[in-house]
Amino acid sequence: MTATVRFPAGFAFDDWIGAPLAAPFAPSTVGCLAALSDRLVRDAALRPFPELTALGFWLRRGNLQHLQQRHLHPNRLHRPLGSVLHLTPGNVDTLFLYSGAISLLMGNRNLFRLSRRNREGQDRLIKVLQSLYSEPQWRTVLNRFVIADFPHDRNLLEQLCCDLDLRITWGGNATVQQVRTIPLAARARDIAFADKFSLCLLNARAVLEADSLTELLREFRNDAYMFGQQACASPRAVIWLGEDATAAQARFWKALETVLQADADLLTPSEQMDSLAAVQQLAAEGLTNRIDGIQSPWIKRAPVSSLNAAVEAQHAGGGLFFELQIGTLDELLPQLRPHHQTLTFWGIPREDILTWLKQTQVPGLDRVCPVGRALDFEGYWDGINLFSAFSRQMFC
Amino acid sequence: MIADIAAADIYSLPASTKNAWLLEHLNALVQHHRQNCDAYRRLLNAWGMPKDGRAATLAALPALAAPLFKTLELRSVPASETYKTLYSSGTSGQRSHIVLDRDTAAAQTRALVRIMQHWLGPRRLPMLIIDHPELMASRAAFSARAAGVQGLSFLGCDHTFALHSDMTLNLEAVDRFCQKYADQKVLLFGFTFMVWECFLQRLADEGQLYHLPDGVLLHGGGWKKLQAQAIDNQTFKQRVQDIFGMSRVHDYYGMVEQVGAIFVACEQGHFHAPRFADVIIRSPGDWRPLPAGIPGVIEVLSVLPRSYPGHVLLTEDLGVLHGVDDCPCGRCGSYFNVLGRLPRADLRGCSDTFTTESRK
Repeated sequence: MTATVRFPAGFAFDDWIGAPLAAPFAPSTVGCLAALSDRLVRDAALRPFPELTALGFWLRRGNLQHLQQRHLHPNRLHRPLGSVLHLTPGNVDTLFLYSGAISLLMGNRNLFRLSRRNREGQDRLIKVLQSLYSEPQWRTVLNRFVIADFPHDRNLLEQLCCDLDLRITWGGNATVQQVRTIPLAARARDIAFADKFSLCLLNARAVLEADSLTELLREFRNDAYMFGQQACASPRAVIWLGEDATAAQARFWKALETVLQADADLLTPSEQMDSLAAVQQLAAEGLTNRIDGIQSPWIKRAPVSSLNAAVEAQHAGGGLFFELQIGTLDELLPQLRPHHQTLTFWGIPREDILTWLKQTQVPGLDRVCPVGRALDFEGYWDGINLFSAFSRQMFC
Repeated sequence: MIADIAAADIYSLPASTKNAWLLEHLNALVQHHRQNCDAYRRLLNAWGMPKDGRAATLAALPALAAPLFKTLELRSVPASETYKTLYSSGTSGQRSHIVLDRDTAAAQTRALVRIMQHWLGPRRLPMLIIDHPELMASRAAFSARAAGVQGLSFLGCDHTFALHSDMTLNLEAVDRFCQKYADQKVLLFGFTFMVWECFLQRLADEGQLYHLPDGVLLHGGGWKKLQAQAIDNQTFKQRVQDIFGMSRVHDYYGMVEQVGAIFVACEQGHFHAPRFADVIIRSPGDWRPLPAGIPGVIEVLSVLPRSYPGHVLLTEDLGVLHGVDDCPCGRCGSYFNVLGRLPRADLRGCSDTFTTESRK
């Protein structure tokens, strides 16, 4: 039983293991990614896929140079790891590309198993890659970027895993545990990104007193509604800091509702059903005592007394927001756990947040950033520096 | 209540009378379930429904999203009174669990029989069940399929199973049945996909032809799998006509969460709401009720569910209402068509589960 290679077209699956490695940030790799960036940014046909355009922007030459300066130490010898298998996530088509690009940059040969979901974005991307492959100068680089469909076959995975230097698995928890039962060579690295939950922290007074909420709403909308609130970095709980939370909530959600009305297709009918069922289940289980927004196509709110596993397990995206009110930042601490990934904030000075983070042993939280930046990618994921994860550093 | 309704009257009540009757019974059920099901009560409280409140219209009744029956045990009777548990098809953990006590189970069967007597006539008909005999093995836990077969078996006699337990065609049994009852009125029943795949196709392969022009084929369960093979209603009916000379083929729409209140398709090809049930089509998003002609999510209402709060249910099916009381077939009631399942975004989160077993 074998996999079907989707890119490069006509590439033999078994050949991926023979592709020669490259030096980290080799000029040909950088050149290839810069060329990809160009195509992604300029192709008008990709407008319906803003995440592809965003990826293109991140891969621009200027950023690649910046990343090189940041992650290659002049006094160390960086080397690729070798063969890397990426078991990619189903919820966000393009996430695997950021980490995949980093692995490619660091000189590895890569095999990507794509999810069976989200075919449209994948197909588009593969088209673009294929057009790049038609230029002979990029072939050697792109032979290290093989994308395939795998049947659900453990035997195949076991065979593949014998020869890997790194296996990277993108969630959820059940998948990670299953994949972990498949042995790797003793020396190989194994990285898993399990289920995560993300939060947004808003200063109630600031929300109430702001002259205009336009910018906040736009940034919040981008964080929450891109990918139907399905990304692990999408804020699913809103934490209100300080007094007057109730008045601030009223102002915020009403204004957001108005802004979202302009966007008919923000959520699919299926996502609507998911958030409706989730909010009903929360209420039926007694995890929330009030559900707001049954009639709103975009926003469903459920106040909760704590962010515990039972509550979070109900979330399925689709515009559902748990809400919590706290008096001080310290009250947030008992709510936080290792699987909390991104905390966005607004109306609180960054220095205050930084001080709080430094003074306390905050469990969880891999990223803390302003509202609007939740889905940004910076080369770190779940607290792991992917540039280091995908390479070796030799000391001489 | 159901026992008092004559089969002839299953589709004879116009909306002007029916709506008030339904509303009264459903409001009473809301109160009943609120008192007896903790989860339901918590939901209604969180929703802000006043304790003694009565909905003014059918559309104002609180609707439960069907997925809740997969993840919660929703019951309005104590465990000691559980008579049977029904479950839907699907992988375990993704199956609906429906708790029936004796009364609700009996009411469901009575309702099913009454509805079907309207379409089949009062006599029990020789019945060919397009399924296998081991289906009914467990008495305590029934799949939707088993529940359907058991309920309908009250309408039949000389029950004959058309398939072996390995789902292959039991040609001897089918031959025997069709020859014994040639030219007589018979009832054939099965799930749509199975009827096509395991029965009609196999008979066609064997080149078998029978003469049952007065027979009725009742089938349900959805067209999803057949759509994937590009088999439509026309093709299906034509095949039945070719093999049996039978033209009366009725599709039905029903679900394990509301057994008993099935919606049978009339000669015009539209599903009809029986006297004690109704449908509302809702717009996904703001969930407002939609007028005829606009597709949306199907909500089903039924006065039968007493042991569990399934009386007002928002399904995961898409459908379109065609009208009320004015179907060309002459029957009263809301009449509609089903357009298929809500296209699913699939599981939540990143996972695209890699099973540990090989699939053929």
